[in-house]
Amino acid sequence: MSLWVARVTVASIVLAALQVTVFSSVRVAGIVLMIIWLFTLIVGLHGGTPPALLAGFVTGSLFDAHVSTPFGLFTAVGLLIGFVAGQLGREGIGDFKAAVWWMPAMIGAAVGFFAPVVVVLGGMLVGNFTLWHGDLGGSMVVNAVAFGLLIQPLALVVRRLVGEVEGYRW
Amino acid sequence: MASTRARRRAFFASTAVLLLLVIFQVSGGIASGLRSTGGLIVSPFAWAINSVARPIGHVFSGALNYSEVVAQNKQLRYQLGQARLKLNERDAIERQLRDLSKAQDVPFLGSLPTITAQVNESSPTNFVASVGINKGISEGVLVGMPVVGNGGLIGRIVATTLHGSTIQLLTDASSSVGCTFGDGKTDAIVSGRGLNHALSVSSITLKASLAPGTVFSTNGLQGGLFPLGIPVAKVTSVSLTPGATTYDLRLKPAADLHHLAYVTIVAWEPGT
Repeated sequence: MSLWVARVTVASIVLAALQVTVFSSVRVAGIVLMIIWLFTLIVGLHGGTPPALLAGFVTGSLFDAHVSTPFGLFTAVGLLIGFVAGQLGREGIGDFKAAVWWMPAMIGAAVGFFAPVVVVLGGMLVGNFTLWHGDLGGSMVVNAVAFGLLIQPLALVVRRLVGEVEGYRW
Repeated sequence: MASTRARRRAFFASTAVLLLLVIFQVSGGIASGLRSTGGLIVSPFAWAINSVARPIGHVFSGALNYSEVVAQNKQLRYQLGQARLKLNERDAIERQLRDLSKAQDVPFLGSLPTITAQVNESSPTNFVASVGINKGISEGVLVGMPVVGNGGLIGRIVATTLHGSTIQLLTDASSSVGCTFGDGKTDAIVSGRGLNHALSVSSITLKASLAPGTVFSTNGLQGGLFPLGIPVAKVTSVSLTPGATTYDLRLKPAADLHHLAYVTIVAWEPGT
């Protein structure tokens, strides 16, 4: 097994544990910060599609184990974020080294804004029409602002956690 | 060529995601197993993080809210005394009710076995109103069992693992409970609208007598989803729109859902 697979997997498990223990209690204006999405996004922009898909899958499925939403919903959203982030990183659009400094923040804000909508739409796809009640607007705004602000500092931590995974881009 | 390949990859990825969602939704059994596995993987890491994060959090909140803690302690001591007094009075009434219920063959909450559990996880997301507890299948907790505490119905069990369960709170948007109030002649459905929102209730005609403070309790119908008589919600305001034939009500849960530490699971299997 490649080293990056082990590092991304372990980092994802730790992030999922942090999400369900710390970030579910520490809320901003009553809204849970979905740090696992931000982590997946950073892994994608930093290391390409395969590590991001792995991060999205591991964090998403472990998070699914803790919530009563349709099982697989957060896995699917994680995979989607991972794929989009990986592609943006590959194109150099959101690459931390190549892109302009504010581009990752903009991408973070966009992902934070639209990911809750994807959760709600995914829920509708499998017949759950109640997810939008959970402060959808608040989730979109708070996550967008937080992702935009936190993406650069968290990228430093993520780089330490998962190491250099360059060269695994699709 | 490259863009065709990328498009194909994107198509296969999205199809796989869609299939994954549908398969997991359809097969509740697999989902339950996967939930248990996920819980097992995360739990040692979560335990380690909690061991580090909790004491730090307690130090900060203790230092910042010390006077509030002292005031709360005094208030709690007073409430404990009051509760002891009421408990002594209630014992006799409960015994009488149990005898009557037995004679009438009506299930009564006081006669049902219960399991006490500790709340160890608040709702991990805003999309659902739920909490996690530390009792699961091994302790006899089953999906569908009602959960009470803090003065009323809290919700019901929606997912179980070996040593943990998830409670769907009363305020969750997909929760609805059959209720009755007053003389028990009028039935209504009380539904959740999200964690921080008031409860909604089905139309109640003006013939029924209602006032702020009226308590809605389970009616024992809905195929026996909940046993009879558990307090569900309290009316906080009643307003009348001119010309309307129904009440415009605001309800809040009878139980305090924001400060859950311990809960009681009623060993009641729906339909029994």
